[in-house]
Amino acid sequence: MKSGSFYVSTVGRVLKWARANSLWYTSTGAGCCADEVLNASGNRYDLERFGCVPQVDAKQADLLIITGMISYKAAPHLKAVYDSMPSPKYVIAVGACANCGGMFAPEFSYSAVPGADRIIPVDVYVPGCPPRPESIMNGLIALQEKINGTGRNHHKAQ
Amino acid sequence: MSSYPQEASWINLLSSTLGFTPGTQEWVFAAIGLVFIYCVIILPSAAMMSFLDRKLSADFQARVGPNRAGPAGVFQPLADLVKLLQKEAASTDWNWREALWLGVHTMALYSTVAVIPLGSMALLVDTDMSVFLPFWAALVLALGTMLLGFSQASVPGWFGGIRIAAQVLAGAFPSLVAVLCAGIHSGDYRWSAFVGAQAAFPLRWTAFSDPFQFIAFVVFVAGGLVMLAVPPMDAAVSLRDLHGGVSSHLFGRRLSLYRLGRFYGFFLWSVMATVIFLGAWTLPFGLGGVLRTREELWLLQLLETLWLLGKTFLLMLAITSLARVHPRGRIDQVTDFSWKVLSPFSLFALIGSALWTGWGLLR
Amino acid sequence: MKSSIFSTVRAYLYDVYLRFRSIWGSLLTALPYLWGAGELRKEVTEQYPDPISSRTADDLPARSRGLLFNDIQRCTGCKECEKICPVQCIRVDTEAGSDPTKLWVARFDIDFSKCVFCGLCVESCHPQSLMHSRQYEGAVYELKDLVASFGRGYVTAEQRMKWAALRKQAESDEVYL
Repeated sequence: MKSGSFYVSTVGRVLKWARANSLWYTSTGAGCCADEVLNASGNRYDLERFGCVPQVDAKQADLLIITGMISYKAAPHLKAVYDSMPSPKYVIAVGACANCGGMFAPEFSYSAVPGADRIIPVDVYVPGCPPRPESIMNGLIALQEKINGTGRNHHKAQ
Repeated sequence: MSSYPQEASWINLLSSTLGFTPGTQEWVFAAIGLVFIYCVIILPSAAMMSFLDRKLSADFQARVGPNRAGPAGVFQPLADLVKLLQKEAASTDWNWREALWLGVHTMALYSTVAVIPLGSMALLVDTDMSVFLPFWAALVLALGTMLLGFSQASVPGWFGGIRIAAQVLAGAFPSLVAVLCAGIHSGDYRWSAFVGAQAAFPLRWTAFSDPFQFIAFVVFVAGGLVMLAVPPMDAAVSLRDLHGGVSSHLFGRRLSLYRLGRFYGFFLWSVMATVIFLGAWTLPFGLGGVLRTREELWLLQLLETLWLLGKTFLLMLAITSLARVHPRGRIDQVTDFSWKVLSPFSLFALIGSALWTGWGLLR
Repeated sequence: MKSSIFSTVRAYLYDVYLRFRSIWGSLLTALPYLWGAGELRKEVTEQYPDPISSRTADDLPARSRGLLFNDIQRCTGCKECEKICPVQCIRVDTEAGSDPTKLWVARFDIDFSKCVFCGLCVESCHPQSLMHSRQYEGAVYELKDLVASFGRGYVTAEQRMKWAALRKQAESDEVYL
């Protein structure tokens, strides 16, 4: 057994497990997807089952859930929120607007950023307009699998 | 230097077990004792209470609560702690003021580990003043927490700092007077005197011995909640109103230190309330006397600690469930409640218990 | 009312009593939830990945609009869906196939990152090849994975020439018939 292998195998797995199971989130709610995130944290779809606690301050959050359209005016503030989060940090883009601008894409609107990944790195994209709460939780599980290193291999929308 | 009680103290048991010579310095024992109490009692109870708190609030909201980290989610606090320890700052600047005042805040809290009573032989310091050390620490706590809030350089930090200082001062007075009431009942302020004045049967507990002591018990618990900003009275540090107040920009290791310190304050206060008012560690059915005559001291100490902690956790759970079903008060309501309701009632209980005890002595 | 020290004290005590009564009342409301006897008597939480407690698959409305699916065997490549799509998330490329009456749908891509699930494309689909499935989960790690391709694929130049010959043959057959 090499000297580093214990750390990589066991300790590293525990650290990853802790990160994956305690994703405290903060949400930039700007649309109907924000309602679905609220719905997901309510008592029918309980986000706290996954250890996700809503945080008011980005400094105490690990996960940024981007919901809704990002205007060019709001983009620097979203970037500031992301920058103030201590790493390791993760981002989920929920809904068409956060994925690629959606209905407000540059073909239709002059003021919308075409997707959150133009500003900050996004880990998981959740399609839908708005997605169901189960869909958001599916994205969350996908993120947990990504952190744990057991990610699904290119789960394709059919 | 005051010496420890010579009758088989757990420190002596520990030192003989570990093979220390009698000439070893006292502070070595004290340090070992503090670390031992922290790791064996405070950390596990913090994990258990945070898990129970989350499950309890989930139950009240007809939810499930954390259930995916380990079986039924029991490893959720562990995951939270390990995750918090892994966090790294996004920027390179190091807020030394925050570190300094977080240190003062934490030390003020943990200085009271020295007097925490956990059993008849687990009394590190049992002087006639040890019950007052938490009140002295509360003043340092108020200062440290206020300046911790100021060091955040943000609006929630400033307001949280000022508010928490107001809360600590408002809560310290009535609970101090409530301790005086219990002292009148037991005749001395030693932990052993508080314990000696009570018996295992609930009607022989101080809280239920006379109506004034019951008022004093309620005032002591409520005043402690105000003083330490524990959930039903946590207007100064509530997440939703004030972004966590003094802790609004703490993260990672500092946040875990802060949250553990907050929990420890709650735990200490519940232990004190149990020892002073709720029958302490006196084992039921005369079990304590039997074990003492058989000289099963380790077993006696273990059972006493477990019995005390069981009662403490029940009290904490009652307070937590109250916090989860009752809307949180605003800061002015909390301080009003403390100054205008708890303080007059504590003085009333003081006069009443003095007359009651004096009448009993005269008769 | 004439206020005296007694009425003041009585009002104060009544106020304190009301505080404790309100705490007691909220406890009485909430405590039954601890053993599952509150107003919400049944277990309301759907534990999502668990198929037993998650009843959503059964509760979905009959016309619920999930991810789109195109039956390429029936698709005629008329591009009605592409024209009507309000967010331009459907891209259709067609070319002439071997049969002069039918188009070869080389590319039928739906970009689910843009799709707003309005259902206009399904309503305008004449051969009824495009439809909403009942699946709604589709989280991915890369944005390009959200593009679902239903097309038959582009053909080689050689194949194209072969098809052109076939078409010419069919047309000449038609003339003689």
